[in-house]
Amino acid sequence: MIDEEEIDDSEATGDAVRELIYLRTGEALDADAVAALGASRPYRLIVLAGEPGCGKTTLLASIYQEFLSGPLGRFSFAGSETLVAFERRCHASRAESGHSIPETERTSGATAYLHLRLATDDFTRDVVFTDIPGEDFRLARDLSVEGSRLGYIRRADRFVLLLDGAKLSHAATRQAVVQNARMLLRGLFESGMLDTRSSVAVMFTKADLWRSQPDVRQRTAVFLDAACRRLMDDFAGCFGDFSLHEIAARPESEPPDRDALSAMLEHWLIGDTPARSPRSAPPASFLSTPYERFALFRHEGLE
Amino acid sequence: MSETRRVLAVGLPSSGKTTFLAALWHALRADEISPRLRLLRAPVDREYLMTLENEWLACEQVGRTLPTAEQYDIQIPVQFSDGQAVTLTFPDLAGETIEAQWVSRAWSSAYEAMSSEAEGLLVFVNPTRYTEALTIVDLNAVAEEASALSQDPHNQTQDWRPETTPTQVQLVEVLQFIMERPNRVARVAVIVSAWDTIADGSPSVPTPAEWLRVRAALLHQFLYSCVGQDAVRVFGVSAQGGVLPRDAARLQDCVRAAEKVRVVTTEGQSHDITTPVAWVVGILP
Repeated sequence: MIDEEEIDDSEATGDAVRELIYLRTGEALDADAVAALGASRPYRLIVLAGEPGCGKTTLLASIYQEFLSGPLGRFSFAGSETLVAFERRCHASRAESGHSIPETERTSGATAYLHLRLATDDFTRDVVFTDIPGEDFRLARDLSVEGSRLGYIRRADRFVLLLDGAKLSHAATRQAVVQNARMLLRGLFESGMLDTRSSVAVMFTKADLWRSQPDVRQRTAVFLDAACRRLMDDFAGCFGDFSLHEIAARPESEPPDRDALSAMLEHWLIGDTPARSPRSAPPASFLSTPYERFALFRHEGLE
Repeated sequence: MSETRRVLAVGLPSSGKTTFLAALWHALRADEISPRLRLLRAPVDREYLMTLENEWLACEQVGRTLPTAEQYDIQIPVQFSDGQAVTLTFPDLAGETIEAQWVSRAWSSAYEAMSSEAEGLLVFVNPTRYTEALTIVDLNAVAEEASALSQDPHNQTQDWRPETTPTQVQLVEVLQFIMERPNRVARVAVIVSAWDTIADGSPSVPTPAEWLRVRAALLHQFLYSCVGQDAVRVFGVSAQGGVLPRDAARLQDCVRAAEKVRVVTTEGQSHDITTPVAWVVGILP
């Protein structure tokens, strides 16, 4: 016979059944929520910076979208507290949106943080990405960086400055893009938000735009080569780790390069940040990874 | 003295949970195929189970459980082949309740209690009711091959709605809600229901595990990362045995109704629908 007490325990009053417990929203985190996450477990902060339309949100959405198809390199998806936020950001690139070409809504409002938990065979790591309105960086470039809302940059494990590939591929706008980048990096360095311990990467986005047009490709490649050398000359000695890359996070007519995205995650998530690393040379294997194909230039400050 | 083992079924609407329960109840009661589990004695709330079973035997679409008819705690006393007795608790929750967790971001205190006590999860996915994360690039590539228009540039654009979120994303979130809280989950069985639609006439049939890895890659990664490879098993299950109403006449001719069920794993297939339950509660290695 079934225990009567078990039967009584299994019955619930209508009120108890309907009592609701609210769950986390799944939306982007704010600074307080990130602080609470950090209080329970360590996380790596990746700051994605750049002017409006350069591709910050698109890059984040692309990383998440690709995990829907499988692991990226050795990284598997192990969870996210911001699935709703990622889904919102992917929507305009999905068929259900009704758009004819993939788009991304511009980020507005306060700085938001998106979360992923990624796993390899050896470890699981929490990663927090910033999704920052590009206007914040435009203001920081033109006004005082110290007076801006960018103080979290000091905490960044990786600072990634995205430069708009669409503007880089046009003769009329490319020089301003590089000049603005130099001004922003200089301002962040002089204000102390970035320093000799910082890991900084400059990423030329939308690489598919100039690669696909023969008449544009050569001129852009020549310009980028010169721009990279200048940026290296200006900043290689300022930061603990400084590198430059190309990326096509969401080409208009073909899937993203998963190898490139994997290599990017590898750089962002593997190895100590220079502030925490022992004062020794990086392992040789680090420079011979697929990242080499991804990185145009790389400099690591050694003491 | 019987030990209570609790199993929680998780799945969106029409994912196959109720049909599975109907077929399971029949297998336990009818003893037609020597299942790993046998019914020890009639449960108290057997009337609901018998209603489901009758619909299943008649090869009718087993009535979708509507939120107002939820059975919160179906307890089925069973016995293993080695004589050990266990009471299975199998809540038959409407998929709408689980979908509401994604859309409305809330669950009932009763559901929270059940999820905290479950030792095994049965996660149901129906390939015929599966929302993909189809990108515009994917769609345009397919349309080009078919020489058809992909997206009419004059189509009205749609704002994001949580209801249209890909199935695997909703399932991951629901499972995260369970895993983030104190729980006793030791094993997760993924039930790919309507498995006959996968195998039906296809020249190369994936295994259920391969289907999950390819078609529900996010869910696959999440489960293997968070629960562990040894604690996850994927079963392809055809609880109806065919597509209704197309195959109803053939299925109704089965003398032993339990034999219309197919349960497929990497190791092989059988008619024993108790296999996923036996595994998830730890009876099978």
